[in-house]
Amino acid sequence: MAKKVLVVEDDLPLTEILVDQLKAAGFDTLLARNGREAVDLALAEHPDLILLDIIMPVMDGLTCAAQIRVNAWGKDVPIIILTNLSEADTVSEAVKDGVYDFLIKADWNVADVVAKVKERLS
Amino acid sequence: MWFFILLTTLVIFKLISRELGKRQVIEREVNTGEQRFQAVFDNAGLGIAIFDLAGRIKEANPALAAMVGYQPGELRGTSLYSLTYVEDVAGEEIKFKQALRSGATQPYRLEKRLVRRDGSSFFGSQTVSLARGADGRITYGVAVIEDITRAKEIDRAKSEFVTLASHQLRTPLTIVGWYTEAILSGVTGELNQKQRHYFNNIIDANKRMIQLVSDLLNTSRVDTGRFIIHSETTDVAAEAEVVLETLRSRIENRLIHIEKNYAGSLRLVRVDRNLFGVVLQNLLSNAVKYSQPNGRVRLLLVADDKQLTIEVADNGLGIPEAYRGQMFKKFSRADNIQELEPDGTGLGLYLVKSLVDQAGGEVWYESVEGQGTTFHVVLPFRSKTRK
Repeated sequence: MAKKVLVVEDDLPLTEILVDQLKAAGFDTLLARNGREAVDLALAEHPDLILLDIIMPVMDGLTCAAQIRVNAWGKDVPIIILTNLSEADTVSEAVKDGVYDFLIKADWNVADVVAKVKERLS
Repeated sequence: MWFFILLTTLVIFKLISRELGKRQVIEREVNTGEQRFQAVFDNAGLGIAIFDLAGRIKEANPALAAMVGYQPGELRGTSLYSLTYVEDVAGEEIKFKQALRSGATQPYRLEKRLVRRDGSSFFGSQTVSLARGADGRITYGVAVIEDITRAKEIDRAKSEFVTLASHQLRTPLTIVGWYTEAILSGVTGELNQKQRHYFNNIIDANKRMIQLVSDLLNTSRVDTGRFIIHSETTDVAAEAEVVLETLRSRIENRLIHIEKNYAGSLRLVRVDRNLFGVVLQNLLSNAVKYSQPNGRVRLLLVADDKQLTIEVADNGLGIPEAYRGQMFKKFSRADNIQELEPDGTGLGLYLVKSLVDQAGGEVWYESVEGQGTTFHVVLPFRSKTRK
């Protein structure tokens, strides 16, 4: 059965290519446009991995991640933070504890992101 | 005989009145001096507190009293530390004790939060000088306190602006990069050679812009003192691989050969990971940029128990004599580089120097025009994090 990846990202062109390439790599995808939608969708659908942007309207990525982690199911789901904020701006204790992976979008390409997803799910 | 007594009396009288006169002048001058001091103390726009070695306030001026919501007389006898936000007290005490121990009366400055009578708090800048009494011993301190709430707000707004701006700039750059790389990788179909070449040019330009945004962000942070150094145990060999990976396409395009020379235990090095990454990224990308095709770039990493040594050596263009003194300045780029690649930012080495300086390290280089350049960086280890 195909693994489910929840993509949480408010920018449309970025979302489109990410979803395209994840599907081409054999993953099922779910989409959320902000942290609030992401929490609801994650707790309802239990994805195998979450790709999470930080700067989003309504609810930001870190708040969203914290809410997911508090949930019994959400404690262990792999979360990869995909952001264009530099690490110094977003690194919190939780990130440093290795609770999340961390990729700066501008420094990598989509193939790298997909490869990281595969790596985390294998 | 009488005349003699009269004369003596007159002389004595004159002497006494001259002394009295002198004393009056001195007293008048002291009074004027005191009045002046009092005028300064009472009317200064900054808060002033005179306190004893135990931190008890002997005098507080009206400005300070108003700042913290007390009547001027009320602060006499209270501890200066009682006006400080509880988490900042330890730091303030330490600085005071250090100053006492060193015996220096040079003023020192600290930032701390102050607490008002109503419990609200605000940021203040406090300059403390120690004063010696007549016997030469330090008897009291003078604290001049300024409310810096506004300045802090402006700082925070600036910092948020730069962070948000660089984030906003990076989003469209990411889109261009992701789509172009995807097309080049063939997922949308085969490309002909011309298409491939054009798309490669787009990617190069895009990468340059991404680098520029990073450089500007880091420079802004360094300039406003917001690049805070956090030392952590870092696998610098692994970090170096990450940096080399980001330069991979440039290295391959120019057919640069990378030689790695590692020594010491590089997996557990106490440095700021971000700082190390930025420094190495700038030195390596320069070395690759200013190498000839088929050139060689040598990376040396050595860790002993005191420090991390980094060396990046290329056999490329070298730095012309005329530019030797300027290399670490902002926006400085040598002529021979400008011809080759007009679009460098000139910020890279400025960043490297600022960061290395802040980490208490050293950076220098050797270069021969036409033969190549070697950059050296030494980063000492620190056992505690420091700002």
